Amino acid sequence: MSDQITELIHNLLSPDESTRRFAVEDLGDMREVRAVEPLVPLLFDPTPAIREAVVDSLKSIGGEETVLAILPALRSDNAAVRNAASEILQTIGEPAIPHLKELLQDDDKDVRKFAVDIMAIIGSSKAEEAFIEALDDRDVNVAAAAAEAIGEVGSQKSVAHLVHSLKASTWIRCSIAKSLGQLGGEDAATALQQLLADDDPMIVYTAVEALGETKDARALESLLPLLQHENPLIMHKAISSIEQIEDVIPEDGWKRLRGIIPLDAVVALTRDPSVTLRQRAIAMLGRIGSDEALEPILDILLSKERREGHDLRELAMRSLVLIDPADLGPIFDRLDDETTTVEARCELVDLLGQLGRSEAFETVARFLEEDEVILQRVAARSLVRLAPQRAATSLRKALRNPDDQVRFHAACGLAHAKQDLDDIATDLSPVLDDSEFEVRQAAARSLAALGTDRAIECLLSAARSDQSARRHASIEAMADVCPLPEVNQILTEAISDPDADIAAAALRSLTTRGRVPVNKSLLDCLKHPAHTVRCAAIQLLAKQEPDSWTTQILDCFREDPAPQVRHDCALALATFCPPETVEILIDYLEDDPHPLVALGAIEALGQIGDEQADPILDILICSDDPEIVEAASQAMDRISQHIVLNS
Amino acid sequence: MTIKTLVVDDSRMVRDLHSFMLQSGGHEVEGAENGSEALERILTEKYDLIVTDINMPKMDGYELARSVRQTEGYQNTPIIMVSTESEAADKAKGFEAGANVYVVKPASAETLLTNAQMLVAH
Repeated sequence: MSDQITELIHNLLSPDESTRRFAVEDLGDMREVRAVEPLVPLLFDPTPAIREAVVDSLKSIGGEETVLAILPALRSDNAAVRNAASEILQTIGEPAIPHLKELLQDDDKDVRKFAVDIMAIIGSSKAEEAFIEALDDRDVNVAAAAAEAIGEVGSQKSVAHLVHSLKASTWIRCSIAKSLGQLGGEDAATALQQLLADDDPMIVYTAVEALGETKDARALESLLPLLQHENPLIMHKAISSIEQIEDVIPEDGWKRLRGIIPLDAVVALTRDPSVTLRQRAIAMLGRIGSDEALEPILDILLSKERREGHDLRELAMRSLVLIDPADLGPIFDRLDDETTTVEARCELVDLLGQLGRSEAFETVARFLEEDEVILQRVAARSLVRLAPQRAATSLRKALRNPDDQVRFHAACGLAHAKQDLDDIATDLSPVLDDSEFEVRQAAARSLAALGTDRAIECLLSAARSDQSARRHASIEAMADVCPLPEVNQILTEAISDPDADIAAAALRSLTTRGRVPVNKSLLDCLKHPAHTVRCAAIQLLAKQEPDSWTTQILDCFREDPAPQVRHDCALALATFCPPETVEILIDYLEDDPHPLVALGAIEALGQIGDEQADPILDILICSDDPEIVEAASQAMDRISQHIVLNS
Repeated sequence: MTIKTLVVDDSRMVRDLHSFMLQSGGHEVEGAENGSEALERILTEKYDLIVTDINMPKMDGYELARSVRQTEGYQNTPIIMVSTESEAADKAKGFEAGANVYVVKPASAETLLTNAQMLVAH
């Protein structure tokens, strides 16, 4: 034995806490097998930190020597020592299995149970046979633990043994039921379905949960009737289990099951005091898709409940859309009912829009004429969904509505029109002067979408207007207009517009359209006082062929006062990649960078894929800023991919 | 009044079954996997009753009981210890740590509920 190890083992007996602790840690680091025997007594050390260090060291040393030395600790009177021994054996894993199997013959039931529990956590399939034998253990807790362990590590061959042991006590049967759920398969499912008729509610409860665990659609036939079980705990568990299985139900699955679904029971659950249960019931009714559920879910959609804090409206709306009732009559009746509030009418009109059925068109259109503005807004939005063609007449009228949101929805909706397009363009043109920017923008986009000569003429004329509001909306919308030379010319001129918003909009539109000649006006934008214009110019230049002006981007990266501009420069540099780029980006990152610029530089380095960046990324990955850590990790992945591709 | 109970056990099945028994008796139940998770919970929530196993990783039931007794507002909260260990010495250690009742596993619903009602009423 070397002097050093002898000294460390000697130090384990030192009266000084620190000396003992360092010795424990060093022996663990050295994985010194000869230290195992002297370390075990220190599991009883009065200092918690030393006890923890002993556990860590014995885990590190591992191997059969540690297993043999630690097994007696499972019999300790001290619960903390027993648990420490268990933790060490779990970590050692496979080498402990043969010795733990032997313990299953021990006279002490607690030792036998420990052995089962530890092997279950190790998760070795080598223990499966031992667990099957332990199902017959004379102690109920050992047998129940063995049954539970089979669920963790067992295979289909255990199912028959588990089913055979179902005659045992409640706890063992519950453990078996749980494991049958984990193992799954036809025999397990059949046994679980039989357990649903058991007299003991605990067995039924566990079987219901286990059936959910099988994720077998066939289990639904047994679970659905339980939705009217007299025991609320079993009924609630049935809902959870059905939810677990839902993902594997084929699209028409619910329709086929309609005959056995206790619809009244599910509807009753929509009134349960538990919000979670109500949510589950509403979602289930949607999936069942039965018209019979329409009225109760409409009640939820229109109830005051959601205004008391539990917002079930969205869920009810989704379910109603899924149900897609054959007869819309009940919805129309509620709209006609004088006692229905304005808010409730809004929900109903929105529902009709989402259902998208043309027979609702007339009903919804009439709400555009209502006095209530909020109803007009929902009606404008819904009409477009119902029948964009037919809606055009009403929407054109709504362009002159005093409410900006109604005008906005009307302008958006007209993009879908298919007839009278020139007339619609004529109606949309004055809306480019609307007092609200979003309305102007919607009108301009709809003109671009209509795409007729008249519509484009309106846009071009607006782009040359003296009024900046009109110019701005049309320039922004020109991104999507067909590639007319005139459009490109207007946009190129607009980058020098005195209004910074318009200049930036023109640059963005040009970026969407692709390649443009790089001229002095464009390069001047890199010095524009507004940083939004400088950013838009850099993004446009990044789409062009690299040229001498790449040096200007480098200058901007070094000198621009706005972090957003420097961020965008870094990304642009990654696309051109002039020779000195990697070095400049690394230098920047090494010198206390601004977080936003650093994110751009890191992303750029990942895009370039040069492994020179690895050392700085190694440092940044330990940053306190989670965004930097995430970006550095992604960049390192991309660099690795580049290296693999190049090799 | 609903009794709010914390069930502590590293076996999910035992937690589920003890929860089922207690919920059947009208308790509102939450679960924790070990002593240290339980301790975190009692610092943020107020429970009327704690039902705990003994052998658990991270923090065993004895240590949990001792810590609970030192936590403000929990000096008198009833603790039921439920364990496979049935020796008189084990029970004595449980009481010494702060348990009010010691039940040997497997616990029946009747035993658990009767003890729970008695302790909470007291």
